[in-house]
Amino acid sequence: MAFKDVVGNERIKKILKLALERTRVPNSLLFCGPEGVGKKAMALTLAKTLNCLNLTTDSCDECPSCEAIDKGVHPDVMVIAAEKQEIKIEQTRFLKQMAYLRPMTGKKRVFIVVDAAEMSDSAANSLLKVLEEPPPYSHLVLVTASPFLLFPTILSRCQTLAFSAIGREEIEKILLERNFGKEQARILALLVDGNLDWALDLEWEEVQSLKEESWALFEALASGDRSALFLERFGALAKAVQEEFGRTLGVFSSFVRDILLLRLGGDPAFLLNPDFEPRLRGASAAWTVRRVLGVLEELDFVLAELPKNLNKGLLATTFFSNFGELRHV
Amino acid sequence: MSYKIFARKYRPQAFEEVIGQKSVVRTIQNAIQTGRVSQAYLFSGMRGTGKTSMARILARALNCANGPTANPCKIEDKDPADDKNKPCDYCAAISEDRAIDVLEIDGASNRGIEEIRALRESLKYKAIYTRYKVVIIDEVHQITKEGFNALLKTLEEPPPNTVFIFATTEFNKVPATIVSRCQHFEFRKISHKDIINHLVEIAKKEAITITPASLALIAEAADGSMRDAQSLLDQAVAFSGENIGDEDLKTILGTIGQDVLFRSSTAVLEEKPEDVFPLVESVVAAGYDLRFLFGKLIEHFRALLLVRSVEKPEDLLLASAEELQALRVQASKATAEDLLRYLLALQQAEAGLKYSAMPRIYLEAFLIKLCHFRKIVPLQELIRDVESLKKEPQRTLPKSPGASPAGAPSARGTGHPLPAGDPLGGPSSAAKTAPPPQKDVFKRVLEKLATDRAPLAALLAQYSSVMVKDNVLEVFFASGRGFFVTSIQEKDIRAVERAASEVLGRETKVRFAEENATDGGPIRPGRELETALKDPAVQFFMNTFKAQVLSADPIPASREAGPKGGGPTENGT
Repeated sequence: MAFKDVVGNERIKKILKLALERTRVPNSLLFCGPEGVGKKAMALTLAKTLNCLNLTTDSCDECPSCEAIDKGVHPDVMVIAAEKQEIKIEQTRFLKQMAYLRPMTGKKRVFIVVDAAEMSDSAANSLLKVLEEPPPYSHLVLVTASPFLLFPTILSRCQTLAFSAIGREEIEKILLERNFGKEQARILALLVDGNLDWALDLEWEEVQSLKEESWALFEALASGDRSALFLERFGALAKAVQEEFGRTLGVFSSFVRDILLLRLGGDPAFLLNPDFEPRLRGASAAWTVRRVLGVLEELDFVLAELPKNLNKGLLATTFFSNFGELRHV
Repeated sequence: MSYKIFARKYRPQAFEEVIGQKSVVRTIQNAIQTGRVSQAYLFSGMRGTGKTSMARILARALNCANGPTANPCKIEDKDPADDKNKPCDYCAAISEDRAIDVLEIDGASNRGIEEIRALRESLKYKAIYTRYKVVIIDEVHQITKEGFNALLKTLEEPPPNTVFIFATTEFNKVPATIVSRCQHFEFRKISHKDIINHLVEIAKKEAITITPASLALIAEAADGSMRDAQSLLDQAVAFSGENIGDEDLKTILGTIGQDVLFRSSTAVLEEKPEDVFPLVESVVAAGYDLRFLFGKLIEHFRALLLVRSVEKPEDLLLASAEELQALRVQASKATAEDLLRYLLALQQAEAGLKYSAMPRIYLEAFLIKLCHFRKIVPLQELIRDVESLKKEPQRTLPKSPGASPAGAPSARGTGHPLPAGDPLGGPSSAAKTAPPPQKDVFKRVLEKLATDRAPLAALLAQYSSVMVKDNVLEVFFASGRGFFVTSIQEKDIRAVERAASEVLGRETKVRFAEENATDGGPIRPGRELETALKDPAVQFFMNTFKAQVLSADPIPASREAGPKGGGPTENGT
């Protein structure tokens, strides 16, 4: 895709175009911003543009070079990502070795490090020198959603481009173009919270069933007498269900947060689940503010722990029992 | 020539150009002039303060054709037209990184013992081309322990005319044995003034127009690192061309408007939790990084606290008169103590926000918590409550948990705010004091014994009940476990007596005995509760209903005293 096909972040595009026009694209770049806003796509487009045979400030997507990059077979454009849990020093060493070699076929070498925060400490340190003084023909682009996890020494060597979440309206617009109804687009846009990748992935029925199922589980859990439903579903967490568990908890968070809003007498226009308003209103009566805050804390805890290497079933069970305890506060 | 970022283009090339490190520069210059160059230097300090630059200049100063000199040849960015200003061959070679005797090693990639061994091997040979052999190891903190140790001997007595220069941002990771063999220089943060002056110079050379206010913003964001400042300027130029507007710069820095901060603090101070939602919505819609906002909020509450507690905050705060007035108005709405509590809670929650999967909801929930903070009872009051509870007859109900305020944060989790007076601590600690204090006394005795007479303490821990009567502490073991009593020796008893006297604050005798073997014998007065707790029926009841026994009262002349003693239950389902 060319720059015009990358959605949102007009500001970033403007900066990159300006830099391309003056041929002063920084050699060490850091793309940071929330998940799913097109950071990697932007980096790839930049790589294509730098190597494009026809254009200089955009990619043509037609020349052999652009095509090769799209296919991921361009010898001078490398995407480095964690193979297992982290990006290892062997990978960055290889990157460094390549970075000091002149481009083979293209004009510039471009290295894109995806999820740069996953670099191990030693891997990150080994990039310091090359980030500080990269050869003029090599560009390094670090991509991450959590720049604060990187060392300050890395941050200070890169030109940072901060991507922002895709605006809700823009996502709504894109969803409308993809033949969603107006109301549907609004609800979906609220759900994804600026994560475009996710938005493009969504199917209305799927989302509806996810939310309905979550609501059923949530209600069962909250009411207490049918709370075992939750354990039946997630108590013994198989690999396949893990992702679903995370998503369900995400929806839970938005439910609880909406209950908090209603409970405090906030403006219903700010609900994250406007389609569930009557139900949420019904449920909110049974919740004290204190319980809501407690449950939100629990949810946050579980969601933060979930990606780690833990016994997921145990995590689900802990959540279940803590949720139960909070019924009494 | 290809484009170079400012940080590289304006890398200092002479000692005088190194900004903000006067003492270091002077020491090194003097050392060169007096011919007392050390064999090893260690430069430490935060990023962007000139360590690597200094190392390279030193390498040139030692090897310059006119040298060793404190003023090595000037290196021009472009090729000089006339021969007069041309640097000597050595300086040129070093600055272009092609001098074979000046090794600049990346410590982060060449960190193992193998690499260090190879380095040692190469040091056997004298400098071929230049006067000194200079080994610069950048990011030296990344060298492994073995690597460092392999260096020790060489570093202590290197071959003649060999100079080591280490540069690192993490001094604490360099072993003491290495540090003691080096001259250590600490590079300081560069002051705002120095940064601004340098940026003005760059702006002049690059024909950039930028306002002083913007420069001040950059300097503040750079936080003492010249490279950060230069990067930001670079970014500003990339974004808006040669004319940098204040607004553009704010976009780049992601500066958050004062009004957002004031709106948040108003919501908190005026306890209007419902206002939090539109506020966060507006921040999210504007695409701000919530973590950044959070950092700003911390600064904002610090400013409020400062205004509230210092008479003349002007000197400590970068704020205009209007802002100061607004801060004053806000700060007057709360006591300094409250503000401090908000500030602490904010700081504790910062890490939580960083790792939160749903930062938006986290932030909303947290701000709402802050709105409820004032309802938290100060710790002193809680302690007073507990004290008064203690004075009342032992078997009264602890205050019901409902007494603690709604909306108070719970105690779990690291990133969650836990103000000085944990409100949840109240009811539970009150409950702990409810059982007879005699048990507590003995527990404390045991704790004392555990330090120097651990075996004895372990044995005594098998006790079933204790009783304090006047100056006698009676310890009972369950019936059938009389062998414990017999195994306690005279000197053990004395040790226990000493500990008990200390705990009780008066001379105390200790007696050990086995409990009455007769099942269900007369219950000792004052021990109804313990007896009741041991009763299987009561235990079954407690397990089934998650109940707690709060009090047990003797029923005269009846053996059913225990089971019926199961008092009012709490937490029953």
